[in-house]
Amino acid sequence: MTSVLYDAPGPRARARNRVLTVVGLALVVGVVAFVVWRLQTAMQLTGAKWSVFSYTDIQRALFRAWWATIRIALVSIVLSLVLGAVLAALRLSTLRALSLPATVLVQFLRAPPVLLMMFWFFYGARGAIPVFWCGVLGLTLYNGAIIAEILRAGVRALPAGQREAGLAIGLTPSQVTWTVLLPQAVRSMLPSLLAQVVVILKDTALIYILGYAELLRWGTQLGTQYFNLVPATLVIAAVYIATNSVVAGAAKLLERRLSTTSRTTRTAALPGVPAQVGGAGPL
Amino acid sequence: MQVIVDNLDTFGRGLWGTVVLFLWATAGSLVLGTLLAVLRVAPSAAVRAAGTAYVNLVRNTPLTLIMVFCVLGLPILRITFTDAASTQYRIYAILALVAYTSCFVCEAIRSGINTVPVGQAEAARAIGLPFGQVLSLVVLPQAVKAVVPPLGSVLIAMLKNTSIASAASNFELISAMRGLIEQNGNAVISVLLGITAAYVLLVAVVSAVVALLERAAVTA
Repeated sequence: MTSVLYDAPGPRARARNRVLTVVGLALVVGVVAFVVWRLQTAMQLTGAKWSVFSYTDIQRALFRAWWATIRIALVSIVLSLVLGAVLAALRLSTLRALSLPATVLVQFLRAPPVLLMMFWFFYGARGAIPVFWCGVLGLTLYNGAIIAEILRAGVRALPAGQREAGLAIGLTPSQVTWTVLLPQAVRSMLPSLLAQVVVILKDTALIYILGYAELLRWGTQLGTQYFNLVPATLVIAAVYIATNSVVAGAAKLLERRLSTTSRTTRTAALPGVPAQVGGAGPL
Repeated sequence: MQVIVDNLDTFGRGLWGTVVLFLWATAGSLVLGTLLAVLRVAPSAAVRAAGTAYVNLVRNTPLTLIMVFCVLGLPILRITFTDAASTQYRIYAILALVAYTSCFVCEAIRSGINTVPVGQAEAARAIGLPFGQVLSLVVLPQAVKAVVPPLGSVLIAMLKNTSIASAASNFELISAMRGLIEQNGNAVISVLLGITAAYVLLVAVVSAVVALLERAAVTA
């Protein structure tokens, strides 16, 4: 294998790489051993610290806490997509009275931390807004702005003919945006959108700081109750990692499928052009 | 806005706390991120796998959880650095930020290296340059151009993530805001606006520095 960094290895390079593998593995084993030793000497690996997770009551509570996190994420994802699409459509508007405020708003919403946006609603409404919605609204404002940028980039990457054809058959500019441009942008930017879903899922943990009972809050409470904070956070981390890996894996799968289907639709969209020509040239 | 003027010292200390967290975490995550990137492009599959495992595990964990683990978990594991409580919490928060951000630094560097066409390195090898010079004269100068923009957005995201350190008993902008709001219940909106303005300003400054570096990288 040649890469930017290395030529195909010869006998000496192969020997060197074997040494590197051994040294690397020794380092990894060393780090893992250190962590295990630390956990062991701090009495964190005893059965008593972990056995709570075998109780069905605890497992059910863990699932409910996980669902609380997923619920925040799902509501935020749906609202962010709506807000993102609206902001993107406004930014793409030909009316400067619409596109300029939308541009300013998107730029502004990307600057402050999500946590601060949650506090806007938390403190700004003086407790009139339930904590769940403070979290959801904070996540929605920030991620809506990011999704608007993703969608706009997707629309800008579309061929100009899409818009022109829409206008030529008599659609209004906003009809063109909503029925022709944005649907295609969603499709082509699906990998980036799913990556943003992982970001939203992770950022739901911020609502812990506002005191809402979600997965992380449940974990730390269990940890204080059963004096097993370290095992509890490790279990919670595993749940987050598993959930996010599933979404990230789906994103990767989708990306691969999209890249193959779009190639076939491109050649199908050019009838009369031989497949190899359609695939090779910048047609 | 009177509340900001009256509490300028609290406000300033909060701002300073955020800046200190950001600078230390920048230095730490650039070092650890580069190390991880070296692991992920190493010529040994086992070493690459170790780097990939770390990145995939930590990247999919919420920073809030890592922060909570550092603050509540590390003392249980008797991993302490100093007796001064405030310094201790600052170190824990910086550790959490570094552990998390370095994954994204690593990915920015790795994808930057991957943008350099293989032919560049092949040509450099063909004229007889040794590995070190292929890297330092041909590959890295080109990779830097592709690395700086994504690295800039990673660091801007990290600047905003320092707000999570408020959950780790750190005094920074968010802690300052919560304190001010508790003392000035009649001026909540002013405090929120002031803190938001501070973040917008900080992000603008870091973005400007990144833009300068970008220009320097392109012309270099």
